[in-house]
Amino acid sequence: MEGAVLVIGGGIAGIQTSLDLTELGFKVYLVERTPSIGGRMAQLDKTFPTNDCSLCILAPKMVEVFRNPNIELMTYHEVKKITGKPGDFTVTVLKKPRYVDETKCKGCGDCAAKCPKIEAPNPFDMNLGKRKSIYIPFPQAVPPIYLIDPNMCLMLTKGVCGVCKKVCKADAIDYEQKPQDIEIKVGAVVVCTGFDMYGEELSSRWGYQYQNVVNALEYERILCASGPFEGHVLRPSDHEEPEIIAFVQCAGSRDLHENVPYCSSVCCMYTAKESIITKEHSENSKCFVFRHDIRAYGKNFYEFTQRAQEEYGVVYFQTKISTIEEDPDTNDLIIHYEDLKTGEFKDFRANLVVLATPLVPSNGSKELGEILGIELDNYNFYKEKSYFNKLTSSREGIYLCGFCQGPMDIPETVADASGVASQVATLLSPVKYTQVKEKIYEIPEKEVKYDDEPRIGVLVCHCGINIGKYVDVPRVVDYIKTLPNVVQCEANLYSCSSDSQERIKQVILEKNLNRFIVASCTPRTHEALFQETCQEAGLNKYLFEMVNIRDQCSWVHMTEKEAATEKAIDLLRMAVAKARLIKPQKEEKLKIEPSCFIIGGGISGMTAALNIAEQGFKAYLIEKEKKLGGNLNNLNILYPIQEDASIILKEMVEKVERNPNIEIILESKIKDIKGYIGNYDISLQDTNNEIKELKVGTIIVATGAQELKPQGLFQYDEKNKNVITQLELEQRLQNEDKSWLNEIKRVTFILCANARQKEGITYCSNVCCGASIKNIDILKELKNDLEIVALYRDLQMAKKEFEEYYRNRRKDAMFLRYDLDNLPQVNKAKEEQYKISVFDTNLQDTIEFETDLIVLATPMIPADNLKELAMMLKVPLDRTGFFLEAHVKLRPLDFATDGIFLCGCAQWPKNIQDSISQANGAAGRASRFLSAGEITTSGLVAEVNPDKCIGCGKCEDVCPYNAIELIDETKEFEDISIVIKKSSINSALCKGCGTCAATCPVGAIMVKHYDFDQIGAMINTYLLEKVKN
Amino acid sequence: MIIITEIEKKKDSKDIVNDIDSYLSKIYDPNLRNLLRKCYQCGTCSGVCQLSKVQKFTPSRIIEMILEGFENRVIESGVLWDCIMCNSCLQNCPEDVNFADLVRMAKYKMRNIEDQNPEEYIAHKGIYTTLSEIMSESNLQPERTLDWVPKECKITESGKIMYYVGCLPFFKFEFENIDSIATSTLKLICQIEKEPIVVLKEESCCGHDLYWGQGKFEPFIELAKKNLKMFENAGISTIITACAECYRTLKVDYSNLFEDFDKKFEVQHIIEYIYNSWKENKIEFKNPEQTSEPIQFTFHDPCRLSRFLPKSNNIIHKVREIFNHLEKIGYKFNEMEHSKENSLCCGVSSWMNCNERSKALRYKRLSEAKAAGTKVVTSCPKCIMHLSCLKDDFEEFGSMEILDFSEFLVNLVNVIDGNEKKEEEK
Repeated sequence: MEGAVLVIGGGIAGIQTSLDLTELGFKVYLVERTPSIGGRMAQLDKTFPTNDCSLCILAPKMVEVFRNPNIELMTYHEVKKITGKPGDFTVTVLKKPRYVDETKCKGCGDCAAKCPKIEAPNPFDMNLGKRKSIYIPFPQAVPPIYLIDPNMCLMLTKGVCGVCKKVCKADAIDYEQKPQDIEIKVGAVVVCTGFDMYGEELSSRWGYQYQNVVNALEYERILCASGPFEGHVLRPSDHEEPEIIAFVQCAGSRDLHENVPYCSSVCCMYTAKESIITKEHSENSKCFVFRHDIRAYGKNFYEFTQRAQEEYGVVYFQTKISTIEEDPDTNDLIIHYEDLKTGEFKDFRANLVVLATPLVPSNGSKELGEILGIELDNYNFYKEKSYFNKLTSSREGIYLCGFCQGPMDIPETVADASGVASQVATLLSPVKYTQVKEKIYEIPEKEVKYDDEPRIGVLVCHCGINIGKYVDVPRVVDYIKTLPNVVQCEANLYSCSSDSQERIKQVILEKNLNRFIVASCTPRTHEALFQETCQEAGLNKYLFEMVNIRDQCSWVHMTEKEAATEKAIDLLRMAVAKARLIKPQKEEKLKIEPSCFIIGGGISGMTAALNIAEQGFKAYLIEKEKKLGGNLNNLNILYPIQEDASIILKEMVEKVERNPNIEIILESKIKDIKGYIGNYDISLQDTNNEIKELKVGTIIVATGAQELKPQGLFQYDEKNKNVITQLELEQRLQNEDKSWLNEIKRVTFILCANARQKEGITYCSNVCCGASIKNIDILKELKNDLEIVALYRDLQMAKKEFEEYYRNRRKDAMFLRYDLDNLPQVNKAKEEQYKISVFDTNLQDTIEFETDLIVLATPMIPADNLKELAMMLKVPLDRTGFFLEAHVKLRPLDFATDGIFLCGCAQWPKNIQDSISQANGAAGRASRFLSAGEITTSGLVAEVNPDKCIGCGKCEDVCPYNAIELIDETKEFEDISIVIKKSSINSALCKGCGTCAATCPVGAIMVKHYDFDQIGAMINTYLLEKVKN
Repeated sequence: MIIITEIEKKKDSKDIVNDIDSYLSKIYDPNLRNLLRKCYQCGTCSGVCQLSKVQKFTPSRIIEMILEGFENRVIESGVLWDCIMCNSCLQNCPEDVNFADLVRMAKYKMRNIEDQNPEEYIAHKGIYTTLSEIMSESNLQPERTLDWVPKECKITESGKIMYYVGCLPFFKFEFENIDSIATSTLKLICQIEKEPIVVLKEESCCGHDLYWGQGKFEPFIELAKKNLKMFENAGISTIITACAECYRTLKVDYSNLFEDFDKKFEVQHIIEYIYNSWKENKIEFKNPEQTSEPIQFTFHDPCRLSRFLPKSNNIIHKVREIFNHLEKIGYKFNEMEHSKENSLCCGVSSWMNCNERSKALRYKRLSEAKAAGTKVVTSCPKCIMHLSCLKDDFEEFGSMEILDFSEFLVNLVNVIDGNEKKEEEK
């Protein structure tokens, strides 16, 4: 069995999977066929619903992959062959020639600056921007290694030029490189190959052939500040700013005849986002969205589409589009459409059209599927093993993550990535930590006392000519040499090369240095490397300082070399001033109790418990009710798989009960939770008031949700037995006795009852539409002559499985569309008979009818008493009362506090499939800590001086990680004794952000390595010792 | 917010340096022994020292060391940074040895001669005194917001009567609602005066905290000069302030610097101003919401009003005359265990030494206050901040209300004469 895993695809799915896998103790080979990881997310401008800059939140993860010693990054590689069985696969990977030696290239970019070849379209900019024939796809590319386009390069095509080879000071250009097969051995494979977006493949009626019709991914690049138009919204034909921009949704999606039949599930949201960002870019632009249904599938997503309209004035039309044609004189577009609200056909003129075209499995998925021997589904996505296990492919040992399995957004992808990692960990549990490296330092750390005279070494990097051309490096070196305590200062060509690391070590040892500074590029990518080098030479890694003279000097002052040099001198002088005062810091190791406490015994909690237990850790599953199962106990038949809920529940409960690693605790409530990651003390109380104490390492919150009982709405109250909620209908259907149906002739379903409103519950619960269609089907089967009417607003049926469901909806029922402004009227006609009057927006007419049974699809609301639990866990709830995760996009299963995780409906209403995959994900996130068995705290933490602390508690209020607690201390004075609170910072939870230190009114808190003396010394030397020419 | 604009910088010249030196000589004597000659070591000061109740601090021993020629040791040790400068020692000293003044000058020495940096003693990381120092720069012109000024109050840039606001509007970012003191004070003055009141955007800090807290005399002198110029430009004759520190600084310390300051300007504390208006029958006290049970309240004497003024100044008696009169409209004034010249300190002075010892001092003060009534009135914004901060920390003080004199009176004052008649006509 191999303790290594192959991850195919370096988008956010592959990145997150790889990172989680290494934390679970596996070596990862990350194969990406393009030259950089980052995938589609790197191309996006902003991400919904927070409008964070996409690359800004992704790039740190990309860098983390780059720096991770246990991830072997294989970009510009492709998988060719796989043999073997789960646990022991042999994979052949093709290394495509970059014509640049990746061991030598430092990414300085000197080659591209001099490359004479006319620029070619850059696929990263969706071919709207240009690049040279030697290039990196985008500035933040990881790895930052250049490559040559063999079809473009003059040297490779015609044998002339060779300029790049001449200018490369690192001697990295190699025109002779050949494709190379590499064989690797892995225990499991994770496929994360993502998606492509339709463009030319669209049928011509969508008008993609016209210059001013772009697909949404092209538009992302247009919006992006680092995109082809530098963030100015311009139309491709004339580079003029468009005034009227039309966003066309479902262009080529949900279409049985042409293009693709399913819903891509993210377009409603990115369209709202793109229209909002457009309005932010230019106030004069007018945005129009031609929508079909609104399918905003996720936490607070529906509200986001409302915000686009209400706050930003984006106009939404409910339409069907016939054609889009170009006006050849103006290159404007004429959209011919049917207004679904009025039934009229109209023309609309737009300056620019953005199409929300279908997202399809990425090019080559089919071929890769054949190589891997895994099946595809009807839509050419990789087929999952079963509906409830979407992370596993048809072949054992090969897993699926992200869009290659089916349409999903980034948070779901990230959650799935953690879930996949945990499943791999279960499969390869015996070989955890067999192939990961742990660094051992041969030279012991030398002691540096605070009063030792500082002996500082400085290395200033030319970075080829990347820095050296703009910053006068010799002048910088000459100046720095004159500063007190600088024992050694030298320049070099590439500080990051391996011979430079040897040089740094040599200098530290020979000159007996006790501080070291490198002035080069960004600490974000390179600080860890130099810190490690220092440690190898016996120098505590916190005695290293880094100065970024590339981004800060040569890049931003490219046209003013004198200023660039002066700034480099200033920055370095400041670093020297700080370096005199820096101290060695210790990193502590804390033990982690190898167990997990799971709150809630529903499907999410049970899944999480099983996952944890199957990885070999102890799981405590607590449930407040008498039996496990949660809401699943009340469900009848599950859609879209048409299986009996009770069978699935029974299987699940049996598995949980059989597992020796799971301890089930029923009918108990939590009295108290104390402690922090790795060491939680939990006390539980059962119905006999007996107290049980547990010690656990991590906690998963899986408290689920409940259905809203809409008292008073649409005649729902105790008296009216035939006005029921969806869940009450499920319970009736569960019952053997169906005699209640005898008297019923007509049933009316009212969807979005008390949901998606302007006030109160504003959100969509995502599951009710599907459940209603399912129940309509079941009722019809039970009683064929039943008449069924469904009143709806939009049908929220995203994802690939539900398309057929949606298609067949009219088979059994009449669907009438109503408006939020015009709610259906329900009046009691006589005992158990109701009169309904509804304005159907499709027919533009009021329809009145009588009905015997009304089923209300009401929203899911948070479980009871969450506030109390949130207080005990010290984690936040959002404004709707569900738990608030650390980051809606990239950390959907984490809380900001380390050690506590969430999944299922505790986070947001969701269906069983999503709950299961989130539960697996949360278990994966939690088990990272359990696998490691210990955590290493950073040396960069905040520290309180208890003598100065006045216990005001401001630090506790501002700490984003709940690392601060106030502890009572009794102080005795001559005539009184009073209790004074003292701040106490848990270094296991502290991330060293320094918010507390900045907030403390009496200066009692300081962050190690960034204390006030050190920062003050930097400011002083900057202001007071400015060098004059 | 504070907006700082750079105005033309004056050229450094010897005149200016000499100018500063001549002012400095008025407020600083480098020979500290000169201040202490009359001391005969009775030890009273160490007995009454409020700080000595919560930490080791003995003024008489310090005085003795200086008198015996060990001034250097005292200065080097930095021990005098600890003094809270409540002036209880001077109040009780049979020979009027001014220990607080000694500390003030010692601080100048510690900073300028010993190069000691008191940063770790300064609360709020020195942000407020830094603001003062910025204002003292001759080339920087701070412009402060006037958005706290109530709509009904008419203000002007030149006139006879000025409301000198002080630093309250800068504090409100950290101390909620603190600028209601300024709002209430201006409401009171505008109600009584017919003419618009001078409130200036370019008002500078009085410099109290630099002067007493940190031994920064040069910026203090610059501030005083800036303010003097500002007063002169605005053509005012009366300065009203609601701040005990501003009052002491303008009334005593500015007069020390500028010989004719007290001839040019009449400085009045809001207590005096209200007292005078009442005695001149301009106002009366009315309670629109009088209850059957009298409301019990007490007064915390700020040290700047009780122990830092010439003995002839009887402001602390005037305030009591007003308060006792309020019995007629449903208020009952009670004294605390320690009151007037003997009142306990709020614990912190000039942003120095906010720590657990200071908390103990504040705890004692609030305990006394609680015994005397749920409402505590005082007349120093700093006292309010310090006592309120402690109140929030301890549940037992949760029900207490800490108010400024102006906030307390703003709805109890009724203007007699013309105004009232006009009201009736309406």
